[in-house]
Amino acid sequence: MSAAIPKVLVVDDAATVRMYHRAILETGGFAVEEAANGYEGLEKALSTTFDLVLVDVNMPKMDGYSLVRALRGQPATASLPAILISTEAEASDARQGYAAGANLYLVKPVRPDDLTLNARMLTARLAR
Amino acid sequence: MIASQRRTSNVAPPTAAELEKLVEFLYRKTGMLFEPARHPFLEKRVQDRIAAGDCDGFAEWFGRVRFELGGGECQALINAVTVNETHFYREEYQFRCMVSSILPEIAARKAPGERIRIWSLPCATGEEPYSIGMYLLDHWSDADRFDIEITGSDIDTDALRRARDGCYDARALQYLSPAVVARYFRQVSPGTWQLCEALRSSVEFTTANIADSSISSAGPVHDLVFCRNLLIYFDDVSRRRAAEALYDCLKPGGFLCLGHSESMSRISSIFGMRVFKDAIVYQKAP
Amino acid sequence: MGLVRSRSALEAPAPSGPPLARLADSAPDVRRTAARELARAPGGPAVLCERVAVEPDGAVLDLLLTLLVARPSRDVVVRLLALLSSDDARLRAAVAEALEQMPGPLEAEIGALLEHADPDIRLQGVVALQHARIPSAPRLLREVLAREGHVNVCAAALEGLAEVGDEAALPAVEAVRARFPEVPFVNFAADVCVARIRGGHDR
Repeated sequence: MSAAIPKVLVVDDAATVRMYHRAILETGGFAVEEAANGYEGLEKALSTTFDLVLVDVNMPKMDGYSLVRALRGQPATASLPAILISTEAEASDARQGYAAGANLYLVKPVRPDDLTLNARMLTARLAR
Repeated sequence: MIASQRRTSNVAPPTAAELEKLVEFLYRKTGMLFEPARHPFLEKRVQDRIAAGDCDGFAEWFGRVRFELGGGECQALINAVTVNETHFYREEYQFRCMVSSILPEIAARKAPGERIRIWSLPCATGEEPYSIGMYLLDHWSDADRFDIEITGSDIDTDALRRARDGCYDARALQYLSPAVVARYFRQVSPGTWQLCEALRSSVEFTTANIADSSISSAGPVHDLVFCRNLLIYFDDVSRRRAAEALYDCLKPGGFLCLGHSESMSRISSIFGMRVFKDAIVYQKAP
Repeated sequence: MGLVRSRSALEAPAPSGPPLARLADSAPDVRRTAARELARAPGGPAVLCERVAVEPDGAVLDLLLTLLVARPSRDVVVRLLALLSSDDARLRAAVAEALEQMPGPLEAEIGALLEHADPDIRLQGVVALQHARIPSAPRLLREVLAREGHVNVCAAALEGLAEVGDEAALPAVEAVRARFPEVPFVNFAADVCVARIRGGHDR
């Protein structure tokens, strides 16, 4: 069973974006950890139990699609809710995101309410 | 002292915003995250570097860190903020992982009579390769079923000479239990212990320079490589080359351990990662 | 059994056949060896750049780029820049990183990237500028911010200026707030940028 405070892993190479998502999520009652690229994101997601992962698409070392696919390929994280966040607004990019195994695909820049509501929705089944 | 030199005590500490900027930069470049508890340490090192570079203040110094061709000041900063000392059983959790998770997996795919090859690089004065030997003899139940080759390599031939001699002081032995010291060492003079001949003669020491890709000239023959607390001191290009050389010297499915404050996430994504009970370890594709 | 001394130094057998053909071999290890040989050969880097575009194995791709980064040149940079338009996110990221590690020749080409018609390319240019050792970065980022109309490119420029910006950037930072009044992230990023830039003067 998940801890009382849902934990989110924010994976993005831009420090300001991580700070922004952290501020929104902490205000929304989430605990937040960060990773600065997809490879570090994978290391952290496999070492710690998270309730949700936010994944930027364009990152060095391991892009967001590859990270989500890697998470889906591991038993420990196969069902970890994942929101892919990208600057790309083409429908084909969203399709690629869902094909990789993301639960949701959002376009940057993300609005605070959109992030909070979706984060709550994806972690709701874990709350008791 | 030259009149224009500034002493550390005359350099103002970085402001909160300057420190945040530096912490973000170090995290991006190295993966090391300096939490608030370590900020006083970081501030002091920054003041030292500003003074050493005779800079006008943080902005000028950080500009050098950021833009200097070749990245010399950036490397000097990284050197200054990473603490390194070598002793036996350093980062012991990786030796635990070696015995509980890595070696059993390697052993399972060995043909009868096929050797297990472990490489410690850089080995400095030998504490690491000898620690590997001692630890697996003491803790790996299958150690006597396999021929295990341990090689220690370094670029420093003086260090290699001392490694072969196998003499150490109390500081190097401080994390070993008295039982382990008694089992593997003999005191040869006040303050000096020598590793037993049996262990000294079972580790091969060679000269090698990881920056020159010749470390893989023998081909992919190693099962497990320890390359700890070396890559962090390399610039971006050298780190990439070193990662490729390490990849090429490993057998398919071979394992790589870096130092505890290092991560492949700032170097290369060519290695798969294995999350074991005791450690995260990198692995070449099987 | 137990610990044994190494046997004498091993040498891997030399591969046969011309490296160009081996660069397209079905075995990744063969391609790796071929790539190393070609890197040292005249005209080799250009061949490696061509292979970068089509190499399916992530580890071989990384090696190709590592070999190229060790031999930076304008020709290599120009060939790799063309790959930033790829649909393959992994390829784009790998190429972008390699370009950042060739700051000398990259600096000469970065202006064209920053003025490219495609905002995705401009965005990649701004990110590369933030990571690479390009001394003109503060000025270039400031200029991008002053003229850029795409919100994500501006956001990336703000990110870069938070690290390397100086007081000369402050007017452009304030102006970008006014350009995107409806975008909370821009305001947030501008606040961070100002705090980092001004940070040196709060005593």
